[in-house]
Amino acid sequence: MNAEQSRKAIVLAAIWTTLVLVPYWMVPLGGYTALATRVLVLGLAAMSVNFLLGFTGVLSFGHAAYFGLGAYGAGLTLKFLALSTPLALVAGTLLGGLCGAILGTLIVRRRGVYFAMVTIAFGQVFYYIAFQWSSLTGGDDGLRGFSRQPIDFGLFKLDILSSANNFYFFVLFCFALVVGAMGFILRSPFGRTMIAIRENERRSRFLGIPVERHIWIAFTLSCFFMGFAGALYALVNNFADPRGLHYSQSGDFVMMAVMGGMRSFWGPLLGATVFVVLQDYLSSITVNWMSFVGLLFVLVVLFFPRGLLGFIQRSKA
Amino acid sequence: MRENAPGLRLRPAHGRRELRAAGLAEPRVSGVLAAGQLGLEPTMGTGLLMPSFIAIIVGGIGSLPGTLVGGLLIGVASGLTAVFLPAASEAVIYVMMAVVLLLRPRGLFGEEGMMS
Repeated sequence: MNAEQSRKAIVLAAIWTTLVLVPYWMVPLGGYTALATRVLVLGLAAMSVNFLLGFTGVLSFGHAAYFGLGAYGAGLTLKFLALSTPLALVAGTLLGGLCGAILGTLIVRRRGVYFAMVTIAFGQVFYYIAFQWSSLTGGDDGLRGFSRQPIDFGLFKLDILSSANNFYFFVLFCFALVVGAMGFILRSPFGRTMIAIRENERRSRFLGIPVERHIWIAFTLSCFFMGFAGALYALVNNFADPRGLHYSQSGDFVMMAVMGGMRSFWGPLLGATVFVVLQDYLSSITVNWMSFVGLLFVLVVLFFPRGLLGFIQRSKA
Repeated sequence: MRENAPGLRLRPAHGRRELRAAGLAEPRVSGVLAAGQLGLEPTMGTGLLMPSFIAIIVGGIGSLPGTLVGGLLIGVASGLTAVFLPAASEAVIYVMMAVVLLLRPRGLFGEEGMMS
């Protein structure tokens, strides 16, 4: 193991230790565990956006649609089908992912600005469906009347509804699974090909890489991750909201990814942390919390184009 | 095109400044006109941003008559849908945007390769 590898291992160990110990250091610092749960879920969503933006090089501005579909998939399953948390997660992931897979076949035919615009258009169509179909989705009021169920391990039941710490560890476990899958994909030859497409699409095409199919697979995978994050988000709030599908929500995810650092794997999690903690703290002081977050975003883009994580890494090196 | 401008003795920075001035003046005029129709609120711009954006895309980026036609088209489409299928009156303009972007990304009157 050389110095670079061991440094990476230490950083990874530090990240996971920090995440596992959250309930023990968050509360003394004045936070609360549910805030950390939100950070994890939104960070997972931002990492899914970054899977596409930072590692395939295509900007989706409609990813909130698949996030919201995941949330509605989980909520509707819990409300109408079965009182099972794992089943709700699977249903949400499948709903978000399959819609992404189907629309992805159309979307990948466009590039650059047009790609972003088509994703906005489809995302908004989903938003208005969720907004108008009141009998199923609850319309503007959102989907209510469901709650996360205890997880049955056969021998014992894990109560994730009333115990914030148990729920945090459950979310952390899910987060670890998805992040592990993401990291595995990015290390695989397929992930390397995605990065090749990001760096030079024309050259990848000349090398014989089926660019469209690769972007479609990356888009679909990213939508599955997004649906999973959305399903978790429905469990966090026991509520699904049509505004979770709106393009401004997609903008928030892109903002988290860019603010944290879109070329790095962990950047979006840092971006989501800054975004969610600032939102939580500032919105208790002023209703115009977004102007402060926006100001920070502009400053980061102007002065640290590689994001906060890129800045931290460079100042260390 | 921006790269060719200096060769033609055009000063890009200069032109851009005037373009921006014109680009800012025009919404001001339309804002004055819209205020009577829609009422005034500080955040009204965000609600109008997407429809006008869609009008540009449907009409074609870089074409003024196209934008006019695009605006008219989405306005009429949204109005007609509001009569026959009220629930879809807002979604329909996004469907139009998606169809135009997929079938003819340059829009109805736009030039090829404006944004690529």
